[in-house]
Amino acid sequence: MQNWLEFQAVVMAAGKGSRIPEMTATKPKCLLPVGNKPMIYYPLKMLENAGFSETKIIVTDNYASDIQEEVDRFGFEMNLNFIPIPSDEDWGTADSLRHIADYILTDVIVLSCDLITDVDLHNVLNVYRNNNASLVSLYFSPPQDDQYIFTVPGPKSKNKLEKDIIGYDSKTSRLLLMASASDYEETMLLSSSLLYKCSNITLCSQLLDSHMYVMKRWLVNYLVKDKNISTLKGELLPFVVKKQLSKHCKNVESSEKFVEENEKPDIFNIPKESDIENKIRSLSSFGSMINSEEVIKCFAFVVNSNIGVRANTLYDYCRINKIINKLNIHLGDEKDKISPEAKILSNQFDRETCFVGSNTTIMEKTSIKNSTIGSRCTVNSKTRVTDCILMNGVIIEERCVLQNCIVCHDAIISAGCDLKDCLISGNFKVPPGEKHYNEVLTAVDRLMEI
Amino acid sequence: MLDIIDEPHEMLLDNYISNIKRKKWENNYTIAEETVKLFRHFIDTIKWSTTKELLNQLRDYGMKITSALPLQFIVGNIVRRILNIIREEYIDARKNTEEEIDLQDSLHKIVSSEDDIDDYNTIVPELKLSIFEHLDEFQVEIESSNEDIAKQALEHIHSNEIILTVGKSSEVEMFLKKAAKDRTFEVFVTECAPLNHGRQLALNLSKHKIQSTLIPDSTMFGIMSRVNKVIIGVDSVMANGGLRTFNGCHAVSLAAAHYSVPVIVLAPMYKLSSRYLCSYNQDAFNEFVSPDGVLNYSDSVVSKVDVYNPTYDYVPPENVTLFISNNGGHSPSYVYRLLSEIYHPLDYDLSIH
Amino acid sequence: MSSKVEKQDVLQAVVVASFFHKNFWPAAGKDDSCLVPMVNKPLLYYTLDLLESSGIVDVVLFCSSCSTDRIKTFVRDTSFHRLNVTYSSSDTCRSFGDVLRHLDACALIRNDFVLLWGNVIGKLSLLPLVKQFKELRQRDKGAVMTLIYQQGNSDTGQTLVLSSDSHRVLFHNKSRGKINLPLELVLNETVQIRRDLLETNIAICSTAVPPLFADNFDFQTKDDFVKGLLINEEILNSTLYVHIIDKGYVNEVFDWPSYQKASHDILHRWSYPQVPEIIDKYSLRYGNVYFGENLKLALTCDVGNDTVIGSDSIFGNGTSIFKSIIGKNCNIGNNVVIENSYLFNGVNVKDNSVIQYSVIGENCLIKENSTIIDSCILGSNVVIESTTELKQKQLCSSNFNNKMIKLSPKAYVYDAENDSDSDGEQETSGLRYHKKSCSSYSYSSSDNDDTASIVASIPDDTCMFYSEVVDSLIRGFEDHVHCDNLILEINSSRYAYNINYREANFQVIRAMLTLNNKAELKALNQVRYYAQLQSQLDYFMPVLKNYIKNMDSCEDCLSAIEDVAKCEDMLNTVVVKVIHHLYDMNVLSEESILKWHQKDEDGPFSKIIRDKTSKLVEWLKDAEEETDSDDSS
Repeated sequence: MQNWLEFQAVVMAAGKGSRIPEMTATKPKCLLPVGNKPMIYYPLKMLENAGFSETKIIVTDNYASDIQEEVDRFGFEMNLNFIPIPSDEDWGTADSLRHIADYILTDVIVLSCDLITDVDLHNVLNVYRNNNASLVSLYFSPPQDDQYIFTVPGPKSKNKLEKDIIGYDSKTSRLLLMASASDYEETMLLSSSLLYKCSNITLCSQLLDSHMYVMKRWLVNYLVKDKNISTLKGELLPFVVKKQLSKHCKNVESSEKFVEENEKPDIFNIPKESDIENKIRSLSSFGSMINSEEVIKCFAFVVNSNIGVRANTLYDYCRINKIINKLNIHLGDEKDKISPEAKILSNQFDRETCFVGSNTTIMEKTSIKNSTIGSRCTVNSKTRVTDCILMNGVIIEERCVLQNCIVCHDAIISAGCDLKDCLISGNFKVPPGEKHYNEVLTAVDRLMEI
Repeated sequence: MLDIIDEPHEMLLDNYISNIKRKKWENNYTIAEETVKLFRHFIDTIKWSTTKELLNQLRDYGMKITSALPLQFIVGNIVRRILNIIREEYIDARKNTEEEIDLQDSLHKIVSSEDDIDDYNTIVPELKLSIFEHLDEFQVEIESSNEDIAKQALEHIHSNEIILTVGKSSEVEMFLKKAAKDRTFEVFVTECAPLNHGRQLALNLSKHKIQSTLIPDSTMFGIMSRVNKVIIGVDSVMANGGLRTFNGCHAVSLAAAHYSVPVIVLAPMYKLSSRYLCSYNQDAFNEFVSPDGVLNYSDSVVSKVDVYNPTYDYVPPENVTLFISNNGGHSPSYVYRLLSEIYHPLDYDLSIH
Repeated sequence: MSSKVEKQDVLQAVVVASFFHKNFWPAAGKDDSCLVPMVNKPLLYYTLDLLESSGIVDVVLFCSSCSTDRIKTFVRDTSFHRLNVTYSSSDTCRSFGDVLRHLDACALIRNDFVLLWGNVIGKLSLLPLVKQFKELRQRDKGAVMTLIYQQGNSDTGQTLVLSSDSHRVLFHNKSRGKINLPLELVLNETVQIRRDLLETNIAICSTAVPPLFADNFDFQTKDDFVKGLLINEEILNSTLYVHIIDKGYVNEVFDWPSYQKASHDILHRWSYPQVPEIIDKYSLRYGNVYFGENLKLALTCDVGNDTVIGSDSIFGNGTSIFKSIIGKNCNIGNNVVIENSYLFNGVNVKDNSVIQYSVIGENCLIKENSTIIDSCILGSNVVIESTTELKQKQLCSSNFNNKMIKLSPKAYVYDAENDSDSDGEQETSGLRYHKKSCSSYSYSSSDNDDTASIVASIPDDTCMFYSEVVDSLIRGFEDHVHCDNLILEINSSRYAYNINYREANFQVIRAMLTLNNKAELKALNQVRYYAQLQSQLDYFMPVLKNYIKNMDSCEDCLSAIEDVAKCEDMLNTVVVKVIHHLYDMNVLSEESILKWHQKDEDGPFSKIIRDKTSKLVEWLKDAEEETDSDDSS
């Protein structure tokens, strides 16, 4: 049976979650629950819905078995290959891709495990196909209305988000500039070749980079040759985007070979088209004439109407938990939301807004609103839980009041605690009768790690 | 509207010409009305004692505006019509003293009757009044021409017919709306690029609960085999029965001829012109507007390409089946007769005295 | 009465009919450039026509005192009855800014007004734009001006940075090269960088504009105004907005190329209804040919496309006219060739002449067998004698400023070199319709923006890194800085410019080999050069050893040597010695040298260098075999 494969999918789940260290100390970032499913479920579900039959997932070797176990529980129809990478070496996304380069035979979609969105993958792929692009990157416009203005649990920290500056042509979706705000000090230098290339450039610093990239195979081949590139977003992509503007960018044989940087491969030598492809292009009457001569074409697909969140910061993680049931994602049946194996004895339980995992017991005289409660949890009586995220195995003793907290797995909140806007890390027992506001509660030795 | 009270005639003429040139008065109906108003004012204010003087003056003015607006046939039509009205009134007034020529006589008789009323030099009292009366009737006729045409709708449109029309014409719109009161039928409207006024017609028709479909111009041939009738409006009707109408109509008429679909043209009498199309070069016939509708100025090929954007099409009389005017239906070969009824042969050329 | 209320709403337009440039000289004087005939109607006609068809009634026309009479006569003669023109003139105005200061002093302007020059062609409905401007002012109290631009199709050389939502102007630059954009503009909101906007020089201004000019004496042109407002935003508290015309056509005529383009567009009916047969008595024929009235064209006369022939003209036998505009009452003889030229009214051209790409002023007489080609501009009443050849000259009928060369009794040539009065930029851009100069501004010039480097595609960072390394090494050598410190410096430069490892090696070696500047090199002969080079290399040995550690870096080193030797002859002669020396010092390994030598490069230079080093390689190979044989034994 012929299996004509157009794309291969790679999900990067080896991220350390360096921006939410409190939660990822004991658990890998991709397994943090969103709406009671591990984060990695969502990109995989999106790929499965788009028709992929096989996905490669890059994981760190120490968590590989955990991740595999949890994912298998969902019974994906797709064929999932878990590829471990050494956790002690600091491998970037590009390094991981280079590692599996031998298995990549076609064009590739790279997703990050923390991307949760309801965008239709076909739209992105169509931009790729229409323009014969070398690279397509997906961006989300900032949300117009933010109904969820909430405080983030944990100590107030300055939101030092790094802003990316994206320059693109709004008519043709061509991606022309990809830089970070920290590259520049006071002024931004726009080269004349950039300005000549496109007369109408839109520069935006508020787009969210979804870390979903569709790339041609020769980009992977280039990665193999150039071993210095370690991350996709940080190094490879800006480099490719910049090379679009360069002089070589015509599909023309240059007679003089510059002996430049001897071993650094000339990126223009790699995607050389074969003669037959050249001939097809010259005979075809489709496609804009300008584009067809160029070797490297990068495109940006900017989405206004869909929601896309990358759950790698505390703010976004909380936000996505709150809006997860509003999204158009197939979350499974109703029974997934409130697991039938949970024993809910509470009468003040808000069915609409809460998620409850399996094997969870919620006693009487509790009030649960707007919260996500994982599996194997116990919520004892006389507690009030509002706007909280409780991960698996949490035990909440009696007479606790929790508001806007994140309680990581297997934590125990002893009786009589009053916690507001707090983050309790995994395996931690909060002593009874404590009152905390805006704090991170964790074991002392764990703090050292952070 | 012009403040016609005290200004000299030259100014009035200039204003009139510039209003039309600047497209302030866009459609033929407005131009016709304004022309009648203007000439009524002239007749009122020109000092004349004999009809000949009046006629010469008016011919002068008519010459001015027709030469300034060579592409607006409607102007010439109205001028000639008014001149004919004056001549008729004069003849009638003279004839009141003599016996009347029966206009039901044969053509031969009319032609061979004496042309003794050649010079209009005798002073006839009360002529101005009767001219104004007739002008009022003429104005009423222009105003009600659309309704008169629409009254004949039921005779031509039958139930469950499929009708094709091109662009937006006010006559056709009223015609279809009148028919829709009693019959159900379907209408296909071609968009008529680049101005796309067909869209407005389709919208208006659908608001009147007429089932209408908007189609691009290129698909017209594809559905022509299913169409029962083609009904179109015109800018002018030429003296040989040919049409000066929206761009794209010629193709529609050819397609209709191919499938033997009748082409019905709705044209009120004031649109009937005494001119013929003599050259397919169309430089005095067609108005070429800005290529903006076809190609954007900001397109990079602009400097290498010659773009023509004609407003009108010429449809030869062979492709027209029926004319419907406010007086009833006529065939194209009858147009010459209508011409002789509404215009006087001496007025065809306004430059000779 | 209602007239009082209406007076408040009446819209005014200010037309600046004095252009302050001599671009059209000598076909039109400095002050009546607005009366230059465009398709046989003065330019000002088109502007007033645009205003009248937009519905604007009150016009304030500014002109300099000497041309006021001519302009007044002109306006009276045309049929702009509905325009209410107020004339304002002054002798002392030298620039656009002066005009606005003068108008501010005259207090003629009562409310929001449309500001334009007298050289605008096209069709634009201004009332809706003014309404939009009024609404804009309610939203943003500081909004001062809306500039109107036409959407072009390619690079126009002017960079405008606008906010995406409100089209507010954030940055403006008229140069062609790279631009430096303040970072905070981008971080605050989404911006658009537009280079495809064509200037129309029409602006809708509020009453605050003339006082702004009056307060700031250095605002001379509109560009100064825009720049001034952008720089001093907090002080002046004024903002500028932009409106872009997408459909429709507006164009500005300020020099001969734009004149040519505008007349081309008019003939192609882009400016409908400002087309010849509507504004004047012409009849349109196929191929954009416009014939006036009462023409006498000979039978064998050939009229090509895109031509306008004014009324009452006479053309002789065998004459061919192509892409030209001929004025009224012209008398053209037999066998004349007129191409791409503009002849104003009353021109008389005798037999067998050739006129190409030129402008002939009014009432000129060109006698037999003359050739006037390649951007000649003739003023009015010039008489050219028979069999004269003119190229690229500007002629006047009388000695304009006593510095002109006399060609014939009624023809004086303007001599640009000898005229000491002329400004530096006096050269008129000619009429040759160059292919868009943007296309010649190809990638090659964009590379010129980078610092000249041997390899064209090295990005800026690398060049900067290279130059910094060179600086460090030179300083280090002179001041005898410890090599560890040098390594630190080089490393920090490397991180600052984000140079990767191999690139850094390459550049460091290159830098080391090119420490001597050109002047010093000339002074040295080969031996001394090598001696100095060796001492430098020895001094920097620790640095070398730090960077050249493995196979890859050896390759980098060798390619760097090759690279530098390609350009520097001195090094070229000693390259073998250098490699040998490095080998002796154990910086380069044998395998790396052998591998490099075997690499199949196909530049001519690399063959040369490999030939030179082949001896060394041979020797190496022998040595290797010996060691191998030693090992094996």
